[in-house]
Amino acid sequence: MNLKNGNRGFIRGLVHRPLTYRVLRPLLDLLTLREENQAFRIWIHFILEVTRKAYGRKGPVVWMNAFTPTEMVYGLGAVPFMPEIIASLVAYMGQSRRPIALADSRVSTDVCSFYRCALGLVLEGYLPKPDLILSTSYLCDGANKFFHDLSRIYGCPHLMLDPPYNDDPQGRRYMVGQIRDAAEEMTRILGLSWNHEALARALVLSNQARRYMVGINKLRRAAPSPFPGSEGLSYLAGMNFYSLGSSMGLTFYGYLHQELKRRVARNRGYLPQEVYRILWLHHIRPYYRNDIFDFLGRQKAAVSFEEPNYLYWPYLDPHKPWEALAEKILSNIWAGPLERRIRAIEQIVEDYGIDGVIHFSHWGCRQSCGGAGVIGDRLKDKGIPYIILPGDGADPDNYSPGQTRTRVQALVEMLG
Amino acid sequence: MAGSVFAGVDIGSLSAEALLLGEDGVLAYAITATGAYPEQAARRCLGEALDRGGVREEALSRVVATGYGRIRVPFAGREVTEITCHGRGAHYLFPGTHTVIDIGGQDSKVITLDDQGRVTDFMMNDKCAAGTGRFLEVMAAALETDLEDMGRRSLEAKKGVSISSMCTVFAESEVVSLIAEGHRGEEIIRGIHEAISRRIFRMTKRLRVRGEITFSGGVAKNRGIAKALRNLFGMELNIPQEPQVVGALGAALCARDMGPKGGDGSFRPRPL
Amino acid sequence: MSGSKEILKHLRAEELDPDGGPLIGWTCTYLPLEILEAGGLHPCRILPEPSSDGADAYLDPNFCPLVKTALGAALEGAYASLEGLVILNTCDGMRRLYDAWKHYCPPSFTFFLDLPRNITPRSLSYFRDTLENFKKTVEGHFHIRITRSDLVQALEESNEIRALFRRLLILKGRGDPPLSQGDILDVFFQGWRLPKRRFREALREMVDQLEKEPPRPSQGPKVVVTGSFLEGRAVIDLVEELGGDVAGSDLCTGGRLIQEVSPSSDPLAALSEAYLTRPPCARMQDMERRISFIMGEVQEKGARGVIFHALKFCDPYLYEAPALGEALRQIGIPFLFIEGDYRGRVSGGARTRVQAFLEMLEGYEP
Repeated sequence: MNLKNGNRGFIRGLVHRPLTYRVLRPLLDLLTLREENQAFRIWIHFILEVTRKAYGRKGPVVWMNAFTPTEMVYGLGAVPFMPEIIASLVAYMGQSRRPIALADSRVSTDVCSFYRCALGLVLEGYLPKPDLILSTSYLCDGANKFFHDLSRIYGCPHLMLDPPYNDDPQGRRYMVGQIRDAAEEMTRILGLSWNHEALARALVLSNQARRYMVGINKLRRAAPSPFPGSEGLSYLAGMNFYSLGSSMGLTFYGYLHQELKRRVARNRGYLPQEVYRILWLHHIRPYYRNDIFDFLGRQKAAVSFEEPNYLYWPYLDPHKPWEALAEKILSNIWAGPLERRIRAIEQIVEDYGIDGVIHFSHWGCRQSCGGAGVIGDRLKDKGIPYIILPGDGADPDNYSPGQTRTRVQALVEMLG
Repeated sequence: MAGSVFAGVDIGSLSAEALLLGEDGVLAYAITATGAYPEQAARRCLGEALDRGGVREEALSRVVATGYGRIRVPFAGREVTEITCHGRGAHYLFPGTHTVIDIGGQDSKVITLDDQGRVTDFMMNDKCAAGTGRFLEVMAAALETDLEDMGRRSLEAKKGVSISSMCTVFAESEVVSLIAEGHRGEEIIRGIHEAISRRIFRMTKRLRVRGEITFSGGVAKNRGIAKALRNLFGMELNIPQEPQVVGALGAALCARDMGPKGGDGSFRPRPL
Repeated sequence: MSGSKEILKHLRAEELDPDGGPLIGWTCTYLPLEILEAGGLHPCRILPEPSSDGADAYLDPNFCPLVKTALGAALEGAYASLEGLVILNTCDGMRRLYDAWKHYCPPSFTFFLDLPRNITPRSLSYFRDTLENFKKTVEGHFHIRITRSDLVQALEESNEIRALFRRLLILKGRGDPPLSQGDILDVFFQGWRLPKRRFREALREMVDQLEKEPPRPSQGPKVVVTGSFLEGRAVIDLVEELGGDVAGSDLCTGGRLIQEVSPSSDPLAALSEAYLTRPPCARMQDMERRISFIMGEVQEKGARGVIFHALKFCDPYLYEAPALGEALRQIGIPFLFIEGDYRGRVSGGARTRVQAFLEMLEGYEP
């Protein structure tokens, strides 16, 4: 019994050809001609570029999870590939059902739909084969085993950094040691040598982008909100995970900063009218077509800020790369005690003048959803209206429009 | 043993089946409703089968019980799961069977067999109504159609309207909305059949399914499902004349093959 | 003469001595209890009674049922007598349990112990330092001193108990009525509740008695049960009731926990190594290592099949199941996956699956 057909093979062939991405670029440029926000077009260029390089094997292909610092891989001269981000893109394009269904023949349906989507794409042979997988055990158990299973499927090595829970001197030393060990392993496996200048340059680029991120986050405090949370949760978060340490990443943030300065100077909000300001918690949103953000917009509720773009790491010292990378990893507020995450949320609520908070509880995401109760209690203590919105970021079959609408509407009514 | 008659009873949550197996093959069978009391249902059903076959109860050499209510049948010599029994029954009817798909009123299962008809793997869906006869029942009610007509009507549509909900309860709301939006009944029904079949198909992907496939259970009488499954698997399906008694047949075969009382001391579930 | 079952019954009925040292609750068997015992504290495993009122609203509905039940019990005051709580960084569920428990109803002493996922010289050394840190914190809070010789003594006593368990595991089937795998599991459970010395006496008596009894040949297809946490003996009893022979158990509540700790001039380093390198739970990263342990267990015990029992929503076990199933299939060993929801009883569906699996292993040839 064979489900595959000729069409699928043809598309797969196209996806694997670097030329496809070169051709797509001018096409997408044309489609986005009217887009005022230049940064958006840089995002498209960026994603086409990294994908093209990965399929074209313009360097060793290193698969990573979202919270492993990309500076390390750019600094090595390797090509990063992030299946989690690709899975969200596939969901955005409305193509996630099929790979998820295929993954369900291998793994339980109770696990994260992004991993199931990525696994399905792997099983269908759509993704560029990794030479190495590098991940950290932040933020979730799922990632660890998901990537390990992939390394079995692809027959390639998997290096997993396992950050300590506490960010103290002992923990730092442990982390730095692990990064050194991993760096050594990587050069051995990939047949590359560390060029300290390249690594320093990646950190410098990351720092420069970071400065823009600080500026962007400050500009977004303005009322009316100049930048929509739905975009913050899509390509802005995407660039945050994928582009730091690359020059295109810096260009992107520069353009975005400029764009937001312009909007704020003209007092232009992204909504025609803004009455409420919402904070969205969790790193993702449903990427397939859904009505949530439009609905909020119609209720004059702007999603003014979203969790993934909270800037948690400090300036990274390019002269001490391993220490810098350890610092970036260990300052992650979503790891370690929940208290860190809660304090950041309270800070955001204050800085952005937030009226109401939505915690998007994504299917299969225990690490995030498990904190939703305590977070809610703390916000309620401060009198901030809060809802938990159960949903699924990647699987449209797991989306209940009616139930979602009811909850979101209830929040808006709480604000009124 | 000349003239020995063996009986299998399959006590499901909705229906009970009993089948008598003689030297020359199947003698008689009966299908009744289970009701609230499995033991009584088993007696009643077996009684009916005995009447039909003109066999006296004393002539029964052995009875094996299977199905959800199998542990409540005190007069059975042994209880065996419906997995093993459906495997045996399907293999008896179609000796080339390598996969059994059984869709009952409240559960569905997929069983793979080796060349000798022994179970090699299985998958059960007994937690969720989607992908079972219950799904069809609920939808038939929503569409104000007789359950028996659903299969025929689904075949009258050229294409089906897609039903995306995974859950029976939400799918029902979806169907009601589709009716309100003016879609043709036949197309909705076809969509329902495709949804069930897809669900079953997905279940089978976890196993090494290979042909021949035998389709059993009450839902196997539905030609619409049979057709949709045929399309998904890309091959013909074996459908028994009476698909609902395959479990009881398998149980009767187990009764026949049990050997003299006492056995050889090997694997023995706790005595009833 | 009191048989092994009698001894077990008495153990179950024993109340805890209120003067037996401060009660310290703990959640994960990667915690070297020797450290607490060496300080005269009484470790008491968090084994909540199954209930349907989980702490859904405080955590999330799609969450580890053990964690939800534990938090629910804590919120109802079931753990009011605890003076301390030690939770390990085992998994996402446990992290959030710690956060919630600490937020809503913390005992006077709480500690979150980090636990490496990789086994490398670096991580062994890190875990050793983490244990040292833990020891110092405990000393500070309870105003005690835990000396090296205290640790060595605690280690030796635990080694004795583990050695007794190793002897017990091969005595399955002996005695009248015969010792079942479910009974053995029960003995483990009592061990996590009772004071160490009392438990060791009872266990020794049980083992000495059983070793005098004649061995009984096992019946039925041999299976190995692997998984995480069983909330009691129901699943194991079910397999045995249905005619299977549970030849080995690889569980967080059973057979995985019997490695000896070698003596060393640095007891904390010895503990770090022994605990991290013993047969792993799926929360440890190296899947290959775990798979080869399980395959080894299967081959050593002559098992014909493996039953994999995961708690619902347990990601480390859920993600591992396909790879483990594949590896076992390659050596011709069938694999049954069942899920538990920590309700204390086995569902009809699980019963059917286990029975069908056993029938399958037997080739159903009656």
